[in-house]
Amino acid sequence: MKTRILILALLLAALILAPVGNVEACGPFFEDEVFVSNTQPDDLAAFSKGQLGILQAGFDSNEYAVAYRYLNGGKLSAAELRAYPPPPPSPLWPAQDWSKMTPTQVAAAQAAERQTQTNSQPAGIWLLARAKYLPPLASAVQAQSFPVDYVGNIVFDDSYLNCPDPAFVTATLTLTKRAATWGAQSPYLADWIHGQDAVFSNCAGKSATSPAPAAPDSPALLKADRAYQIASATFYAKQFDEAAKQFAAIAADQSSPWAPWGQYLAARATVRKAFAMGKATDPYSGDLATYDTPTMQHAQQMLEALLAQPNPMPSRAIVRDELNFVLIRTDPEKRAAELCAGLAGPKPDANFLNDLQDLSWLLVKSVSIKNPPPLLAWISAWRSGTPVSAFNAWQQNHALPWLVVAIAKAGPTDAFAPALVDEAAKITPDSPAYDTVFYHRVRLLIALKRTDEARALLDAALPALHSQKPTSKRNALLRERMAVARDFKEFLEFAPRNTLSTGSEGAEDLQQECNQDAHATNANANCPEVTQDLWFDDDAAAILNQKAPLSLLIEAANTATLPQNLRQSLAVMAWTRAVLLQDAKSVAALAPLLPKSLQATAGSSADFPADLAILRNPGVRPYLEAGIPRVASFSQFDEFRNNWWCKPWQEEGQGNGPSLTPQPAPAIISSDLQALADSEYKRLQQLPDSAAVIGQRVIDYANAHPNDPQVPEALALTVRAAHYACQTFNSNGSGNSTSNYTPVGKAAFEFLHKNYPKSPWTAKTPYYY
Amino acid sequence: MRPTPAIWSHLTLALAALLCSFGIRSDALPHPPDSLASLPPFTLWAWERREDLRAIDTRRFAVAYLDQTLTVGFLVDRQPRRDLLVLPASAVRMPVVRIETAPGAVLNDENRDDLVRDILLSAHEPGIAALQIDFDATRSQRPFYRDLLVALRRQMPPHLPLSITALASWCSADDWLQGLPVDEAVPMMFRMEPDRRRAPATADDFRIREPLCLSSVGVSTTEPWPSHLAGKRMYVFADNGWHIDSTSELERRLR
Repeated sequence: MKTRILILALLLAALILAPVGNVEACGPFFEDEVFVSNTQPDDLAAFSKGQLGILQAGFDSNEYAVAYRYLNGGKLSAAELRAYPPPPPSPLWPAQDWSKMTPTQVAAAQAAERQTQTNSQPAGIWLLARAKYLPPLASAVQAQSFPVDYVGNIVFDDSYLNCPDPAFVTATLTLTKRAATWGAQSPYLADWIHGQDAVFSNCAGKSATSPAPAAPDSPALLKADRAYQIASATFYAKQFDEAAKQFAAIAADQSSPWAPWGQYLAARATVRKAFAMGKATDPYSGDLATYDTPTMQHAQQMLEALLAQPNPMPSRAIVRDELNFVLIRTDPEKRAAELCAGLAGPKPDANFLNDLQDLSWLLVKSVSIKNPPPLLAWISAWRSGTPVSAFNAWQQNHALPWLVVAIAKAGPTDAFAPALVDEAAKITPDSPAYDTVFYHRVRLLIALKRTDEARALLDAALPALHSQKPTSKRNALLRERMAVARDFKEFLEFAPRNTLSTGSEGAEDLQQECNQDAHATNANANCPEVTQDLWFDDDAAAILNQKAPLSLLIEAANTATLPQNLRQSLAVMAWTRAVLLQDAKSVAALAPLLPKSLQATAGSSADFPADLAILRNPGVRPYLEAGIPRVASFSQFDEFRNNWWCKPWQEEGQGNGPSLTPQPAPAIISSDLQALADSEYKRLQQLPDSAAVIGQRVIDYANAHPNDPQVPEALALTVRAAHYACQTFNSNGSGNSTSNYTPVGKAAFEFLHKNYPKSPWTAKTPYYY
Repeated sequence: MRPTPAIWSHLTLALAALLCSFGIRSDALPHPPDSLASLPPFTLWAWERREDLRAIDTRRFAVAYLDQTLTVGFLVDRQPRRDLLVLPASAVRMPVVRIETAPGAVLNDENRDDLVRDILLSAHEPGIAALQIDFDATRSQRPFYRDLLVALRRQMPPHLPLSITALASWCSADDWLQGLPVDEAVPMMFRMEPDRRRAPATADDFRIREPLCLSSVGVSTTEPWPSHLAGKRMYVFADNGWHIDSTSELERRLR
């Protein structure tokens, strides 16, 4: 008995010590398809040459500056075009399917790619040059301590570019020169390289090492180089006072080849010290980094004195850039006026790239400018100005940039809208403002109920655009044209548009379907369905989802001029609705339009075969999302539970929800059909979620037809749907689930296990959810 | 008096029960490895956001800061920490290297060696108390991860403790951590499965059994904590960053 008590006591003690943890997770994140880019031009290279397209309020300051130059009668010079647009980011790795390579081939390809990457970076080029004379560093340099800031804290800040690329470029050039002077095998060269290793070991900001002084019998050149290396290492170790002194000493040593850099680098050390001494930085506010004002002003004086010299060293441009960096902080009004004047043109800006960067900095940091120059005021008008203020500005100056922003901001209730429409008509197609002004002229005409004028303008403009590659401009004009469609046929003609970029969950599912069909495992298969097909944007999707009754959806699915991908999506979506509404006539009409795999299961039935077809195809749902809809990959299982549909159709966190923004009833649909659409839509919205409604129908059928051989499969698939479909849990109002399983899943599971214990579908279904 | 067979039977049964109970609840008696036991009782994870921890009590709090993120694809891409982090010079510091895999990642010896080389950059940072690796390896990636840790352990400073983060399932229903050359595996008792879209899990089925997981536990500031934390060093993740989920609020919760 005592032993049993002991056993129980031990087990109880062990039980009490159980840890418990609760969890949740994050992501994934998807991006909607883009039909009209409102964050940047479609083609930056064309944009930089004056093909501005339709300017948008979400453009970056760089684009506004370039657009302003053209609207101001200027253009980018050849030098400016070389600097803009920036090269597109290269992919991290080459897109190649290495699964078909042998391990040796993979390793060789990796080595080649690694070499390519190394050769493209100044730091990598330095290491390659170094490797000609000394073996690679055996291991990371073991530093003795962390550098600390001026009040003794450790500051990790890898966003702080400690050793910029020119440092490695200079080191590589110097290495080549010294090898030529001393010889590749010279101990002086090895000494120099070790000194440079110590300099660069401080780059990560996590060590504070210094090269040993040159031996007394070293050549004068090595002694001079070593003094420069020591000052550089001190600089990268953030010991700025000492670095400034060392650079000043180098400047005074006229025998040193580094003397021309001395004063400039002493000033830079002072600039960095000013930031390091900033005392009031709130790292969370997004405010400007603070600095010590007297120290920064001292740095400014050093740079101004250097710039005042007849031949400032190392060059006037280099000193000017550093001084601008200081001035934009110490005197932003002056710097803003200077850079805006340069960028606005019409003459080329000798300091173009630096000015673009500083303009961006002023705006990103929300630096207050009391008297904003015209370019800055124009950008502000785009981003936050009112229609009235933009119109008044245009009235005052009658400058083209201000007409563009005034008409872009104007709405139909603005009294001056008709005047702007008239003014817009004077802009000729060769003007860089034409696309923006034309689009907004049409937009305002429609808003002002002058639809015939708008339609005539669009019908004249659109044919030429159809022969060109898809653009935001074409899609934007198609959107306006669809808005003035005279009947449902015209609506369908202008509703399809090319996506400019994809990234939705629907697109991902369609891509996965392509990958599976092509057996692609390591790289995406070519999938023209994703990249080239026409799809519906949110305006068309909203009308089809909410304002079109089944009869019109059937008509749309039968419209031969619609692309096949859209006809199929419409057929699947409308058929699902008809099944849910138990509209046998519509089901029969749509059945021949379904993809073969769905047809094979569903036939023309609106009952159990249709339910089974729905359960077998997780992408089936009764609505379309804007962009690539989920029904486009109806057979694909979505890994993130974007399967079947929710109740209501659009729920937070459900990825591709249908566009349910209330739309005015389009004139293209008669009032009778609108009423029918409203009725159907209301009935659909009242149904439970997908697993519940289809699952219950399956259970009802199973009760009535227990001997149907397809019943076990349907029950098993109901359990799967209850697990992986969008679920509607019971909620206690706090957002927490009060139930961790769906009733229909449990009911289907119990029916399956009770009535079909030997079915393979039962064996495949060990749990309910 | 000689023990009777019945007494032997009872003693054997009692011993078996004792061993059984430790098997089920072996986390009841944590044995922190000596190399990490001297660390402060609480370690603040400072992840990829701006963090100012200059005011922390360095006797109570160490800091495990995300130092670099390594993404394995065709090659290894290295992304050093991007956001500012300020610490008192006296803080006990632990760099964390996060490893991620891109679709189609090449998990071969070349990329393993590159990972080790990059991780050693963190391992050689001066004055650090330990190194931590954060890699949510999938089942198929585990052999690669194991090889990586073996290679790393061989090349990193011999007396530097090596910590890894661990999914809670690794420490409970799994045994793949056995024999890894690490000093601890920190079970992350937050942000776990099963349902990433809907209601947070209420499952309490993570019973820590793996010996490497017994000395520490990872929790977050906004989620429930395991009920038994005695004797364990805690790693705390600030869901909203430490400027919002302040250390003073953490202190209050720890009381």
